[in-house]
Amino acid sequence: MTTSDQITKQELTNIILPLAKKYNNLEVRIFSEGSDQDQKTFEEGGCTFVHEGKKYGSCDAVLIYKDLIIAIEMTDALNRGSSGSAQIQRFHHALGAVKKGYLGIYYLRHGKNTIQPVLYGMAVNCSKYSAGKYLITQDLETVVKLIEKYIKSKEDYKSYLNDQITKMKGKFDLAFSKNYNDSWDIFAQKRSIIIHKKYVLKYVSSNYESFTVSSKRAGHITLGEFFLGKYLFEDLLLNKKKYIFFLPRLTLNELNKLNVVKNSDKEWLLMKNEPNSLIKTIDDLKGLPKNLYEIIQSIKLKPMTNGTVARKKYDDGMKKIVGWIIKENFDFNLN
Amino acid sequence: MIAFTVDEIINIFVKNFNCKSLKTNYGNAVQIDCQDAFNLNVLTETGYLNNEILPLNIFNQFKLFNDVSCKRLDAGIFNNQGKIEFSNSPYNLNKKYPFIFNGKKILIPLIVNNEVQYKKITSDIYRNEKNPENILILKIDKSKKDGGIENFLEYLTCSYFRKLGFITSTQFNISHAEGIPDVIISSNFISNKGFILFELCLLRTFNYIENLNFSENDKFNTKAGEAKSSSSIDVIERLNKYKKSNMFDDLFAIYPNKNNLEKLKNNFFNIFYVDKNNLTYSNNIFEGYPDCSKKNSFKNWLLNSAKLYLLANLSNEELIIFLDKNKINVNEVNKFLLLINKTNIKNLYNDHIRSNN
Repeated sequence: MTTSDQITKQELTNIILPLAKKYNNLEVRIFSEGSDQDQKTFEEGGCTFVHEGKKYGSCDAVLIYKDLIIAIEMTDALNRGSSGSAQIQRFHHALGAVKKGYLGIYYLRHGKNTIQPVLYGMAVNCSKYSAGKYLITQDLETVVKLIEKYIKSKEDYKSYLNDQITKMKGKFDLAFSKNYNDSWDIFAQKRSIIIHKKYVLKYVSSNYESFTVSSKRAGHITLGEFFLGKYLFEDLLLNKKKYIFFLPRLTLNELNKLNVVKNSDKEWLLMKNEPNSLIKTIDDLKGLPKNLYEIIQSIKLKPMTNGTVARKKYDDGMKKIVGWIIKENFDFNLN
Repeated sequence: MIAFTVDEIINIFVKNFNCKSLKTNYGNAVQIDCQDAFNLNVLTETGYLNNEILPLNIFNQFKLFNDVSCKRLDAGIFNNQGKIEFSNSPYNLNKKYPFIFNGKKILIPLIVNNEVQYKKITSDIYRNEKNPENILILKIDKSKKDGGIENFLEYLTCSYFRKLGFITSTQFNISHAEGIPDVIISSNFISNKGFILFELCLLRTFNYIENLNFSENDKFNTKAGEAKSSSSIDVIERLNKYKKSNMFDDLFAIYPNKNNLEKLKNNFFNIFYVDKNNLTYSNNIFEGYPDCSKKNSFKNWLLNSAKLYLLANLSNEELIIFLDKNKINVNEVNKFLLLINKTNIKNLYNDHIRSNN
């Protein structure tokens, strides 16, 4: 149990209470932190959404008013030194509801860190290409407004919701222009991505232990990075290109092992079974020069803490491997 | 298997803390003081029924330092949003939820099959009672392993040693490598009365501790305990880990019964347990070698925490005056922590807390 969840759940309770008192048929599912009720599926009375057989992360709350279903994931990560990964890693919690056609809201409580603008971009694309809509917010009053507008008129609700999505797009576009000069190529270079004519590849440094040693908690982070790569590129969501999630510190053998040992792991299954996506390892780079292969092998078990020799070796090695993939116009087996 | 029945829980309160048992429409209950109710609320998931959605629960939200080094604050009493301000201070809580700090409270232990049943019962109570906010539900959830009573055992341990005059606290993070004992106990050099460490921020809202008398020359003694809701779960490995920190004069297990008494004795550890509804502490010989400097770092953490809790008696406006006096901007968190570290606790109390009461 985290203090963070307790704080945000209490916050949402206080905000939603007047509405719940006013509208008897507003069902509010917020469970105490010690309970595992939120891990039950939505249909079983919980806060976890299942789409096409895949179970997404459990949400902190679900609000139901007639046909309106809002799944809310909340975090105080911005107060806990999270400038990046802890924000992204929770994206998939509300994603299940959005895929099912409901409204997903990811609330990040105001803090000393700011929201990663990519989250807005991911949510905008998710809203565009999924059955439901996805909002990123720092204001829980948005939830109240949405319900009030829905009760008043569905048109008002839709218009307000679209306004929110437009605002998110504005925030993403502004940051994209400022940080990447409106260039996806610059973005790709800075965010460990290769944009190829047939595929978009995102690589991360997670190794076998990242998924099997629970204290590393890296499975959650890796899943966040996975969805970051997937939801920022419209070509992937339109199936025009294939998404390759490249784990260079993993071998094919290890990938096969993970598919066995993690066959009931929610996070692994989400990555493995995401449509139009493939997980690839260093062994998939047929013809990769031996010296490059060996650079990565030499640090495959080392911690990837910033500033360490191993991290520098990884970064340098990956720069060379990316250069090789681009130069060779490397074609992965995309089946 | 759940260690306690509802009546056993009630008897624990009656026998050990002089509480009065009651019969309610929802089962047997016990009447407790508002401060005891608050302590239970902070240390466990026991909530006030002030609303129908999620009973008010401040569990885990009175945190201060990230670990024994006192270099970083966690979100809790302080907002920790890049500036020095209170979040869950009693002053703020009193403004939002004044019922917490007045009158007697009714504690209803409830053994439920699952969360759905719990929600239904609490909803019924909320709708039918005139002052539901004065009712707290101690939930024992049968769907969780051993009913999920570990936090309740921590509360009982803290309350027991508090009654004996000690300073107690829970979830003390020694360091990432050395672990987090569930309960810590130390000799009391701050007040004539025993207290749970966070109670130092309740001087204005409750009258439990009326005055502080600092006696720093007394021998400083430390204990740490690890709680398990069932005697089938072994804690010896964990206690050995805490032993390596060389920070404690005594280490103990916390169990709902005395099944492991001999085993712990043979390993030179102590045990806190419930025996026929009586809270009991063994007197086994502990075989450890606490290190003076390690104990000092623990004492430093205790003192710094005590100072911050004392400061948390103030409102945010009063905190700003305190910061101004010390020439600290609200965003200078590290400078603030350095000041706390070097400030004498007695002076802090006399100059800023007692004078403001």
